[in-house]
Amino acid sequence: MFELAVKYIFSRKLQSLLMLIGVAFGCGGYIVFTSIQTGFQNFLKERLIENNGHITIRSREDYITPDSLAGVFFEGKRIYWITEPSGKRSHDYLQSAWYWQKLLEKLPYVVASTRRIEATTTCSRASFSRSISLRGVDPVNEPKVTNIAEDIIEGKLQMLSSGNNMVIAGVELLKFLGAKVNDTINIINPDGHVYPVKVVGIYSSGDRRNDESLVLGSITTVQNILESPGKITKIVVKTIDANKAAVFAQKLSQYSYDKVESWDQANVNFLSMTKQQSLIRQITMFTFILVVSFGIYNVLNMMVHQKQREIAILRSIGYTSGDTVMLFLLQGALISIAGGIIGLIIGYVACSYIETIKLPGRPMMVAWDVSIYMWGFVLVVTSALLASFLPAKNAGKLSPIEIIRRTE
Amino acid sequence: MVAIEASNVVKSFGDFTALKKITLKIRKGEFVAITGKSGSGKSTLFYSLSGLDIIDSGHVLVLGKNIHNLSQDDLHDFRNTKMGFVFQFHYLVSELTGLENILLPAKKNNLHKQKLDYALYLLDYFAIVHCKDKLPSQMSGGERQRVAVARSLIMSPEIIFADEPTGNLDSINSEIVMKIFREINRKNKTTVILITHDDEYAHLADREIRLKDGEIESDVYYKKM
Repeated sequence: MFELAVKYIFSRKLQSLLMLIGVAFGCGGYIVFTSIQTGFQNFLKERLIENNGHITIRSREDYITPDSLAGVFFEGKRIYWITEPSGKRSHDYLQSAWYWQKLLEKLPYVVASTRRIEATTTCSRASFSRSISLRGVDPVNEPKVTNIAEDIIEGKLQMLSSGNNMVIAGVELLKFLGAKVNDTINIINPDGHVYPVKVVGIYSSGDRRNDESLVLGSITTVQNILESPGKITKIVVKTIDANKAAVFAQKLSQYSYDKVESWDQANVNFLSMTKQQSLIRQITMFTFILVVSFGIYNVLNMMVHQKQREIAILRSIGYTSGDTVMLFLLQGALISIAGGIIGLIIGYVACSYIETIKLPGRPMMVAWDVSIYMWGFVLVVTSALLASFLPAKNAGKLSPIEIIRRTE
Repeated sequence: MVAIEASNVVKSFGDFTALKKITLKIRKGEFVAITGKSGSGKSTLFYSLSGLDIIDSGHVLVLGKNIHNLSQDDLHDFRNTKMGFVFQFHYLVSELTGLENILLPAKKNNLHKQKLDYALYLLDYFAIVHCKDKLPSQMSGGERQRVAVARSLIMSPEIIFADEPTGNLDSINSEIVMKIFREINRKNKTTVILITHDDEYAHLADREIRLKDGEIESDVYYKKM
């Protein structure tokens, strides 16, 4: 049957070629779309994790209710509030940063952790001023947890430890202030006190928001500026698997009342957006593959119709219904496998080319994941085989005697 | 020795009864022509005797086997090894060459390599060697039918069923094909069941069974067996 199936394929070159092209582009298209989208999502995901680690631990900011203050004033007395307490509890600082550091060192799923002190303040130089995100980091531990150090295009993160009042500022912020390395800029703390600091490095992540507002200093420098000696606002943790960060965060949250949040919990909107993108891609691909499958179904169905007399003679000379099914199924299988292989090549070549396209600030992101290629191949070949099965089954059902009678 | 034994075979299509309790015996090596006018039931009898069609009642023994009781796999195997078929329309596979078409029944059981020499002999015997590598579309009607006859013989069947094999041929090619059947019958002692409406060709057979309205009208022996 194999030889006959091959002969049938080559005898109808145009029809076979159309089926082959359909399958090849179905497979190639799946690979290209999925690789680009996955590459872009991975890029965004990496940026999120790079800057903020897998898990952050900070003080919990609960809403305050009258019950929150029970027992604090006039113990044992009934209190009638003129204005009920409301708003959020402002625990800006982690009360148990030291305890966390010691605990995290012992946990097997924690790779590294680092402390941070963060605040929103103002930065100025001459008559220019801008709101900034001031971040005090540990120059030794920060690179173990995030990739911030890699985004420093001039100077080094370690330079922050060489003395007080040294900062690394975002490239866009420095442009705005008209400052460069070794210049002095002023940071104004929330109480309005001005602290002059020296720029020892430039930070450029490609994320405009960060590049316009981020100022990095050592923890001591930032604590001095914020006039909060010994205070820490956040601990950033790197775990053994970013994809299991939520599970690890849940475990960590059992140790303290502090707020423990994984990167994906903190970016629910981003993840729902990526899920929506994936869903749109899947629907598009499903529609495309459905069209390809219908094409295969139609071509094979037509072939079964055209080959009725030959099916009749095959059956009369001893070929079974199963042989006839196999004859048409083999055609579908051969075309879909050949088309799938060509699709893999198309996908690979197209992705290689797309990766060379330069976008502002970065190249096109393409995911090189073997599973994408495997899925593309399996999905398209399976669909093509299913589409071939119905005409093949119909061929098997044909009664030789009815065909002979019809053609007499 | 009996090749085919049919007993009270009935076949109906709705209200129309095509075969009315047909009973007959065909001996091995016999060349039997089944004749009759259009609608007399000769083709229906042909399909019933060969197991291509099911019957409503009665039974048909072919080489001692009740073919209507065989499983589908056994019936296909039986047809492949014991029977050869030639139809009015050649029904060659258009993608296969003359030689490949002849070897098609042998290919079913992977016997095509063993049967290659015999296929070449048949090509030579039927004077169609030049059709060996030709596709059916490159052959004449007579050549195609001779390839179809060669295909029916490749498994050295004991019975050849031929349904109007000359119905689509000119007189010269018809005579060639009929001559071939006669020779196959005489040389190999192969039983030949020939359906024809042509009295001239019917007389080439050893025996003529004439049907009328689904019944045997006459059963005449032209040659004493």
